[in-house]
Amino acid sequence: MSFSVGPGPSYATAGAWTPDQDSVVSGFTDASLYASLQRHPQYSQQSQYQYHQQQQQQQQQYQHQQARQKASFVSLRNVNARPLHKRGRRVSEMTAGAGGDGGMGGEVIEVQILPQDDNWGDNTTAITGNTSVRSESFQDVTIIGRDQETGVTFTCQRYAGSALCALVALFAFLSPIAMVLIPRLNVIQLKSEHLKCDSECDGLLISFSFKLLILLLGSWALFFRQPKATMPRIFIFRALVTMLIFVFTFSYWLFYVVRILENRDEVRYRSIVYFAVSLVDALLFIQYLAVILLELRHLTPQYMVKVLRSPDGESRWYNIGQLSVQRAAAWVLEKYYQDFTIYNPYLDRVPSKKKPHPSNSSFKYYDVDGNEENPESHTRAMLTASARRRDSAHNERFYEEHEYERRVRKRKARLITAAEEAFTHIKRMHDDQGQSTPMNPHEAAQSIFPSLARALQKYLRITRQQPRHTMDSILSHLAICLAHDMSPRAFLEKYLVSSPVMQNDKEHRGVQSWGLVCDQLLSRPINGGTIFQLRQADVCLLCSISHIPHFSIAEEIIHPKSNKFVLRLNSETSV
Amino acid sequence: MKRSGGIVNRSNHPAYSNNLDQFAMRTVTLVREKASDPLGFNIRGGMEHFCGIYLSKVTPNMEAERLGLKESDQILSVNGIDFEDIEHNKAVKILKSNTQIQMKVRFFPYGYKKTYDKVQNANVGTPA
Repeated sequence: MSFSVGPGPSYATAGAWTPDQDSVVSGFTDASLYASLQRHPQYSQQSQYQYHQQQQQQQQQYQHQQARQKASFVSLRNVNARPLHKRGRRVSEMTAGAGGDGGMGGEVIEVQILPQDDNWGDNTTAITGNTSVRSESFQDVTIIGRDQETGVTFTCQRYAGSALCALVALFAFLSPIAMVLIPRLNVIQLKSEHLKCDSECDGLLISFSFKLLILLLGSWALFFRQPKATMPRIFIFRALVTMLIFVFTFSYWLFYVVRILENRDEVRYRSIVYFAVSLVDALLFIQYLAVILLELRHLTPQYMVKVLRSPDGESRWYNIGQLSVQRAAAWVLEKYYQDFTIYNPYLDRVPSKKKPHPSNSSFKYYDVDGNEENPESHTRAMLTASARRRDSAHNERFYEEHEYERRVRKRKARLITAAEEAFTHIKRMHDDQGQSTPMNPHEAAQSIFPSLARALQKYLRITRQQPRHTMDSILSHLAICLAHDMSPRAFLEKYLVSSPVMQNDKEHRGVQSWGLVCDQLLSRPINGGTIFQLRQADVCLLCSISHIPHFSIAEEIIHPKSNKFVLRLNSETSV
Repeated sequence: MKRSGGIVNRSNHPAYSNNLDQFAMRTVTLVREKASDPLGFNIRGGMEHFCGIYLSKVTPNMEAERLGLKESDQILSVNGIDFEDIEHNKAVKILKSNTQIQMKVRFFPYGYKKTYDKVQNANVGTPA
């Protein structure tokens, strides 16, 4: 694995951020990594290119510093349990393979790219898009872009599993009804006295219909919902249940055809109804099994998972039940969007006002003359200078962060004051009757926005939140707060608190794509010591599983008679 | 050991003394006419505090002081009765009841300081 880190940029002084012409876009962007993870249905190849450009511009503007890691996987499908496989080789095979490794997981494609001569090391022409370490490769974009092209394929993939299960379930649901109705509809010729339905048969039919109703309601309540995640491997429990349903239904139909349709003379309608009722019972029990396997089994916590986010080191611990790795990953993602703070890549380095002055670098002092006269003054000056240098080098981070927090607090206070003052304006406009024209919330928002625009903009600038909030979003948020009589602090909460990831409007996409990396097979259950990793663009979540310890609780008896106390005063006695 | 610079040898220090005679056990006999006469010192400690009996104050210009009793002396036994694990009240009674007292004492400032410790743990062993 190779890391590359570019030079640390410095931020310009207060005011507009001007791109530093001398700084180079730091880091090596692995475009295949980028492309595979931006598997957004509405991104076509062209827009991916534009997105890249825009991203590059943004990088130059905000001087983003990243460390890129050459990863081994391309999409969720291609990662499998091959721990001995060398990672670097896989990437080069991918790019050299020119799209041949398209969705096939696990195959090693041998492509003769290198010319077979002795000095192949000198003039190797490997077909990659990267001509230098510092350029992005757009060829990989086009290669991968062919895989996840448009929304149709992805939508099909997303709903395929559920659709199949729904189909099988529908088939199973309709079969008892069909079994009961087929004799009645004169599809097969049965004698009319065979078709007589006495009271026992009527009772059976009533219970049959009620059981079907309960089956329908139960399935609707539990299973009729959008699939939460598209997972790379099959969902074993769901496949098991579906297969069970199919096997049951098929065998029942087989029996039906063989027994009932073949022996038309001896069959009675009552036995057909019995048969259908037993099928409905079997389906109800399968639904019970499905509820246990799919919903209940993973509810009791058995493991603790630690979720560690990579670029900023935020971590959380959760209790999780018995799940497969991919389901655990989906579960962790749910918690991630609910609990973690928004990751602000521009806050990786604490922004400092001043440029790093050259005296911070370590100088070496050489005493040229080598004379010992005035040893006191020399040593004292040298000692203080070196001490200051050492202190500033070690404490630089501390003082910068301290200074930064002070500035943030100052601007936050000014922002709150400005907002409160602006909101008082709007209140007075409400109370005054006839002095000014009444405005709807949007117009009211537009009218008071200028008075807090400057303070808000300065605050957003110092907390590097500008890319997250556009003026339209701010105005609409303000309009909503005014319409619902929210206080100024409630309006400002959106900009002051960056707590759950969903606070970021940009995360409200329909589909979020994440990459899952794990050493073991993804449909295996998790175990103590399992480690898997979820990736999306900059953010990298490392999840490690450990057992919840078994608690051995023993009873300890404190006898109430031993609950006596004495006063222990260490007093002196004169003798 | 010798060190360069201005550090003095330990054995050359004026307060240095390797004479441990002051910590040895000694026998002191006190006689008084009446049992109500004061002996001339205060005692402190006891079994309930998990320590021995120590002298905490010696009245000046009295017989006890002249006999060499001082603060931080631990009473080990009185008239043959062991005072290392005895309750405070019993010790006081024994001391007050006899007119002739033969005490075995020793100078033990460490144990005496421990009687002033604020935190007293039930698991601490008695300094014997």
